[in-house]
Amino acid sequence: MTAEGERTTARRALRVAAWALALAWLVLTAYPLIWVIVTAFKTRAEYSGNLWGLPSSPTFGNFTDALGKDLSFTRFYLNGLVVTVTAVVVTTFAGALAGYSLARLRFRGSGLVLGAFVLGLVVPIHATLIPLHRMETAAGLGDTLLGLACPYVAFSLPVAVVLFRGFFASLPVEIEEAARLDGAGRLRIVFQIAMPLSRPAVATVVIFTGVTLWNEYAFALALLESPANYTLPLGLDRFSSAYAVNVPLTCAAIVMGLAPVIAVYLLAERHITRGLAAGAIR
Amino acid sequence: MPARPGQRRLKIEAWALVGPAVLIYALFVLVPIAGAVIMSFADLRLSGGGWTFTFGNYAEALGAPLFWRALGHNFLLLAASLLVQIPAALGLALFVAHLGRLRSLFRAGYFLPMMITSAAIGWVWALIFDPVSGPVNSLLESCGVGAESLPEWLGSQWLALPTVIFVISWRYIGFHMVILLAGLMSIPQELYEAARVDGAGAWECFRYVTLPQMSRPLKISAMLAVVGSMRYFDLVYIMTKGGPAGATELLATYMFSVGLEEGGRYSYGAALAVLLCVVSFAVVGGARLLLPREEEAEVVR
Repeated sequence: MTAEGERTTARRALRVAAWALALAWLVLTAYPLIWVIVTAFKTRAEYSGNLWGLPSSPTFGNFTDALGKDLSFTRFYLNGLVVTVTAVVVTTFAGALAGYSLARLRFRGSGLVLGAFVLGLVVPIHATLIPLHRMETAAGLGDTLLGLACPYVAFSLPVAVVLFRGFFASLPVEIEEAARLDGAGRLRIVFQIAMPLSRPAVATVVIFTGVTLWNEYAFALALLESPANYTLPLGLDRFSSAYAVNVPLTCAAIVMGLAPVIAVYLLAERHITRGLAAGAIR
Repeated sequence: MPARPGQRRLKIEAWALVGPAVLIYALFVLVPIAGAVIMSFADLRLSGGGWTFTFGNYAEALGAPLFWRALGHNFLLLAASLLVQIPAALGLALFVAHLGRLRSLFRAGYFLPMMITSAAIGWVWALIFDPVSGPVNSLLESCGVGAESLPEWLGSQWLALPTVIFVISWRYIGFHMVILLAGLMSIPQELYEAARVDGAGAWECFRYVTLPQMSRPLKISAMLAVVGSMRYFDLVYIMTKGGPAGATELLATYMFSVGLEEGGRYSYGAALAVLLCVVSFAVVGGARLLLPREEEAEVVR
């Protein structure tokens, strides 16, 4: 065999190996979820006899059971929705205003304010859990949805502020100056000019924060006590151990919790990945 | 020097705009951190204790073997992310970057674990690694491993930590892959064309074009791994609660268990929270020193 021929053979072998590894990893990442989806359509009886196969007669029973009144997954979804939407709305507006101020208005202390938010990107946020628990209990915020939404906003703000500041700073000043000559105030400039021009930044903050908070576990675990206040991750955790025997039911609950997230991912993938990197990039 | 009225108005406006965010952030992040520092010098607990000034919590933490063990596990997690997750993610990103139509399928598949709440991930992997009914052990059994020598995975003193690190890597490789892929896709194709005109092969292209161009995304990934591995909590707490007997304990799970769950030793937990912050800042600071200076501002912002 010539040297040239050997090189193409080696290259072909390398390509086959790369495909094999990449496909194996794809199967490994996707399979657990596929298994959860398939299992969600099995009855308990079928699950115990047929762990790995497809369901012989798919049932929606687990989904209706999970939403039934004994198991309050409906409640967990609603709690999660209320907390996530509230926190995302407040984070977006407060973050945009602060980002605008830091990008456009030079004032004494602005460096300090920005530094404090940048610090929030590296601080181990779970260090706040114990004092937060004590403070909120003392203030009557303990075990309430508001008491969960407030720290959610607080630890989402650093990424939002840093992202908005970067985006607003890159907008041309001339448009705002024209608006100011027309007598527009700062708030109008932020809401009617800067934010509409920064739709990608707004979308990134909304989607990234939304997915993160919908899935958040540690703060919910530390701050919520009564099952009536659980969000989905906490409810899943508590009920999967309480109903350890009913695997298909837990699978159905997971699928329903994941469905909106997958939909968001398919519609707005780039915003999620941009948000992830925003912890590190401006 | 008296400020001009216009300047004063500007200052008021600036603070009014930044105010709501600063207020919420200060109340629910900065004040609790200050609170942790104050609490850590007292003796607050669920039952009894009080506001007596003491260094006892720090003395106890620094003398507790479990603290040092947990700290070691955090560093092991960091090593696993830098030496396994990021290289694997780079390999996958290189593969995915060369795909045509299948690119979004592979990227979405690899990224999928990041979209699922850790409560669900921990539950599924605990089922998979279940010593009695899990598929991993059924597979081993059908390969002829005797029932008495089947591993206990998450229940085993020496296998629990590798298993937990595997599940964490399973989740985060896709995360690093997405960051590195974005970096790969933004390398100008002309650089490769120029290198090939100069007679560079595949390896030379990788070594002299790809790697230098990827230094920034790689540093971003490394920085996120450093920050992330010091604050890690979710999957470990869900799968093992730090057990069995401390085999998978991390600083954050240790703090949570003694401070809020068992016994409710608030002040001792607060001291552990402060130590967690100190370790994090030291490691992040060290990592920034190791990265070339011109990049540092960009990376941490």
